Amino acid sequence: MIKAILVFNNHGKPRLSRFYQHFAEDVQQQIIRETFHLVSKREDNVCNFLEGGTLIGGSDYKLIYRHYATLYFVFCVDSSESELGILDLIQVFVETLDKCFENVCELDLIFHVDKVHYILAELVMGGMVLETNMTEILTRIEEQNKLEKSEAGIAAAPARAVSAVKDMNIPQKIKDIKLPELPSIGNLKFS
Amino acid sequence: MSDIVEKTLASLPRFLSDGLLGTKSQQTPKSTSTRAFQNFMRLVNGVKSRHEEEQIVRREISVLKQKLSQPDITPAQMCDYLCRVLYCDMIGYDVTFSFIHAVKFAQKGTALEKRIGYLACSLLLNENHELILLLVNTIQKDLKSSNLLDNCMALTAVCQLLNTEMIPMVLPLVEEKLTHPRELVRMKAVMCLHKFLLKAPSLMHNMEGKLHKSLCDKDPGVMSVSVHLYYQLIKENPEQYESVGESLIHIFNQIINRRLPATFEYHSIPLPWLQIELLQCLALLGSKSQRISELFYPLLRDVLARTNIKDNIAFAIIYESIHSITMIQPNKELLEEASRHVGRFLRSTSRHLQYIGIKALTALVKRGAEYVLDYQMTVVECLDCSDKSTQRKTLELLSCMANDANVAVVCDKLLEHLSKSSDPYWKSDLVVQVADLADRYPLLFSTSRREWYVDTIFDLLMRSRGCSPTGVVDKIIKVIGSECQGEDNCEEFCHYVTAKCLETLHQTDLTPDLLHIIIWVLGEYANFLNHLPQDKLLKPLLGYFVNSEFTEEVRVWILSAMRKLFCAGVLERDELVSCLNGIGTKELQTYTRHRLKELIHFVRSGIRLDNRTRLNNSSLQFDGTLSFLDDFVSEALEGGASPYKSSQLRYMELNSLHKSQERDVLSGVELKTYSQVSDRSSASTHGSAGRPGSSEGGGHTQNAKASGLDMTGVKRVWSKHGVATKEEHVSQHKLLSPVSRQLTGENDDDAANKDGQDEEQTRKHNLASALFQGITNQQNQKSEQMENKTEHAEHQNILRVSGTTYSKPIISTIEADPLPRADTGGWRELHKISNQNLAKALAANESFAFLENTSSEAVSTNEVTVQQLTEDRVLFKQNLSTEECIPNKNDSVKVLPNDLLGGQSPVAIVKDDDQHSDPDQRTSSQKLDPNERSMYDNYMEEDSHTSDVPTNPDSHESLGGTSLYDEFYSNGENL
Repeated sequence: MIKAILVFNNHGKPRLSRFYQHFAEDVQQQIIRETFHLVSKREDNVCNFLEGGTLIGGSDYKLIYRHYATLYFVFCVDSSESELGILDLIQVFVETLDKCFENVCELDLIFHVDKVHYILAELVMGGMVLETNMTEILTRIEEQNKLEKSEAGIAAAPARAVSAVKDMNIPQKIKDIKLPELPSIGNLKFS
Repeated sequence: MSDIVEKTLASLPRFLSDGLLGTKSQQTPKSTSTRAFQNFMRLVNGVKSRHEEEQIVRREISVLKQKLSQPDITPAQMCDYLCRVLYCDMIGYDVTFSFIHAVKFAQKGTALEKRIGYLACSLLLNENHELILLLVNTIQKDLKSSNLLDNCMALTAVCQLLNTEMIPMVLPLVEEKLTHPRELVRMKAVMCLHKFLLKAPSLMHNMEGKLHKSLCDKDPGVMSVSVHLYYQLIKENPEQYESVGESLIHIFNQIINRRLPATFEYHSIPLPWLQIELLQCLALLGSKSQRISELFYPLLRDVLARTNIKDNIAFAIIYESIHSITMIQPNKELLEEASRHVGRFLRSTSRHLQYIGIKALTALVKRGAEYVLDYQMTVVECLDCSDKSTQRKTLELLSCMANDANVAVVCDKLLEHLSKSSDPYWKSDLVVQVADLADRYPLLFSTSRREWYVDTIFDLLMRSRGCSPTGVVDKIIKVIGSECQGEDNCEEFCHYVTAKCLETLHQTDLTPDLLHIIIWVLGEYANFLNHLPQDKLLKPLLGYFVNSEFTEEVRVWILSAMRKLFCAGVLERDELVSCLNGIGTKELQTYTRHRLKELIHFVRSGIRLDNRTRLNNSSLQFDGTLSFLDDFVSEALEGGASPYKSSQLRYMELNSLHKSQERDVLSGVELKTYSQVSDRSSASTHGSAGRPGSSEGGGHTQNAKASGLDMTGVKRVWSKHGVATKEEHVSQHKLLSPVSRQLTGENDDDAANKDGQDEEQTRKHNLASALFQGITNQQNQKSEQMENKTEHAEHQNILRVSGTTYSKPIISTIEADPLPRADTGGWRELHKISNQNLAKALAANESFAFLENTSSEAVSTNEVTVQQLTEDRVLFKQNLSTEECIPNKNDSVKVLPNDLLGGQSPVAIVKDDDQHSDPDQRTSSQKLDPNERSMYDNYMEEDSHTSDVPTNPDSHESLGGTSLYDEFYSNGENL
């Protein structure tokens, strides 16, 4: 089971956090800090699996992460999840975000936090994998957006829905997501 | 730095307006970010200190608070506000004010409002929050709605937000959704049921039919989420769901034969995540059932043959298949195949695959240690790998493949990493592993390594504050205890340990864990401390006792250590008494106060008992009547003491006396209700002296002090036993020590060569040969094993328990029942009778009812004690387990070395029949005579029989503790 999904940048600033098990507010912050501490120490050429950290589930607890440019995507899972499977799940998540926001960047995750969560809700529900097909997720999101709008009386046709469905053979091109150049943010130290 | 910040600030607005309002606003038509949000973000990103950030966020929160409470907000505005609230919440600020707004929006009409409202609720609230109650109605309404979006939102909320009590309110509605025409809704409904299953399994009993229907759903998506549910069910109870196995195998067949539409493929593998989960389910089922395993074999063969795509997800499936192969009923051919694939992983250059390879090898080694032989060098290389995760997994593999021959090398490696590592979690993990190994192969610890072990553990516990896992302290105590017993040079080690403990005791800021160990060691090996000036010990102990940082538990340990120290003659009577009297009892809990009083009385009486003396009930006869105390009691009675009354009797009398009075008035300990009385007397079972210090017979205690009990004769009988068995024990050690000596020699060798690349290679080879020793020598040692085995069998009465579970860490039996097993039958029956008697008597509520039953009173007194002991065990389990460490060692499962080497041969487990026997006697044969009835049956009959007295005051396992003394007092009454 997935216990938490955390996204933070290279400085440990949280960009997205979703807990599938209840923790008190301060414990959540502690988990984010601890996870960042564990993950940021690791070099690039080592494997993306980590064990340790006692906050969430002791020995029955793994961290699986991917590092894209300025962002760390970390899934905290228990021992029943497959490491390589989760690694690919992160890839699906990021690719979907990228499709949805056209070159996703750090700020998209903040300014469109609602949309990001809707996507996440289609991918993972209650800590279990719900849907892993990117096209399917995008279709659903669009469908729900459409419903929402038709109800709100806005008739704007979501052009992107059509393009998303058309663009079926999504290549691997997004594997290395290029975030918009923000060199100044990248070098910033927040103390 | 500052110019960087400036640049950032300068570039941000441009970027933001470009990215979000320019091109992007076209792509995402409903841009939710407003200028206010962007400004806020710019400020937050520009802060230089935490304090500055706090100011900005607080200001923002107060603005939001005001805005959200405005009456007419457009949906777009509200979306914006809530997004800002969510951001503040994410970076750790208190946004409690917004909770009610989130709930209100979720209740509103339009989809946009509802959606953001539900999202905010699920992120901000938790299932036990009181505001959820306001939401339940809305959720119910939305579940009933015909709108797809409403349904989806409500189901997501149900999954995240409802607690156990609210589940019944929505369960029927969720069940209804299982038949919804849209597969999306069906999927979400199944996920909700999964959540319910985790939270309230009892509600899900009659769901079988519906679950099976979703498993057979025509949509593969619904089917794949229902497998989550079945995985959960199977995990809980594999036997019950064996019938599902066939359906799962059928599904699996369909998937790998590509019967599903291409849209379900990921990197041209059909439903890979579902495949992984199915493999996990089937592994669980196959581990219990031969039939499912047989059905599973061809599938596994297929999967391993098919997936030759070089993709992460394909390797994930292969790993899962390997894992399944090691879980299910073993099949030689498949294991070989799995071993081949493990090779593929290990030879890979990808760090991920190497990690997974080591993990797979660990699983494989549990089935047969010989599989590791092909990959010796890889394993050694992984040990020196730069990646901590891989190192960690490799060490896990090492401790899994430890056997008698290589355990020393493995332990060395673990300890080496323990001292090198800086990760506290890994460290505590390693501590458990080393303690486990030391526990399993205690004899192979050489002197220097033992000292190293103690040093490392102390060092670790000093540094790792509070992150040592539960149970590890008990394990360490057990290891130290077993090391201090029995081997030739154990005295040296005991000296070392006690000196180390003393030294550490004087340091400040000890953790409770470490203090626990130290106190235990000091108490247990008090006779090594004779030379000490007593204030050196007493002061720090008292200091810790009154230190309010420590729990009551620590105080109880200290008291029992003091008693042991007193018995060993380290502490002087008068000084100890005056010190103990000086302790203020106000802050203490009743139990501790009671123990303290007991200790004071005990010390006053001046009885010094030998710590080494322990109960040995195989050769022990209890004198139930305590007739040897007759003189003492009559003396006491002459001196004016009041005769003893049993607690029940006292209760009955008082009850009849104060019938008219309110219960509350009877606040004295003895006057309380039955259960409370039992609490008190059971406490004295643990009590150091086994002396009911607070009982009415105060006069007795005084007299006891005056007369003193002559126990010397008894003591001698006991020590004789200890000596007799020690020799036997030593001989057993000698049998094994050559192996260990040879091992350490080799280890020194490979430590010697270190320079140059060639020598590096040699070192690795040496390490490999040392590590894989026990496994390679398998054939040669088989004959040796047989010899060993017979010798062992002669030496000991072995209870052979067959099984091949040697590779799993053998869990110590600290939680074992402290009552003698052999007796339970007898006790139970007696218990029943006495309970009936008691019930009758209480029902009648007349004192004569009890007096009539005097013949069975002795029985009932004892019975009460048993019950109390059991209850008490729960209450003071921790405390018990500490004290039990030594006696329990007898009961711990010991794996004979030769069987480990064999791998396939059944593991012989040495078990003593009784855990309460003298630790010194653990090798002596203790088979229960079937003719021998429970000793309590005997002692009930033999009224006038006088024999050995249980002189063991310091153990809770003086089973009769209370009962014996109760008897003693009732005897006085008869006189």
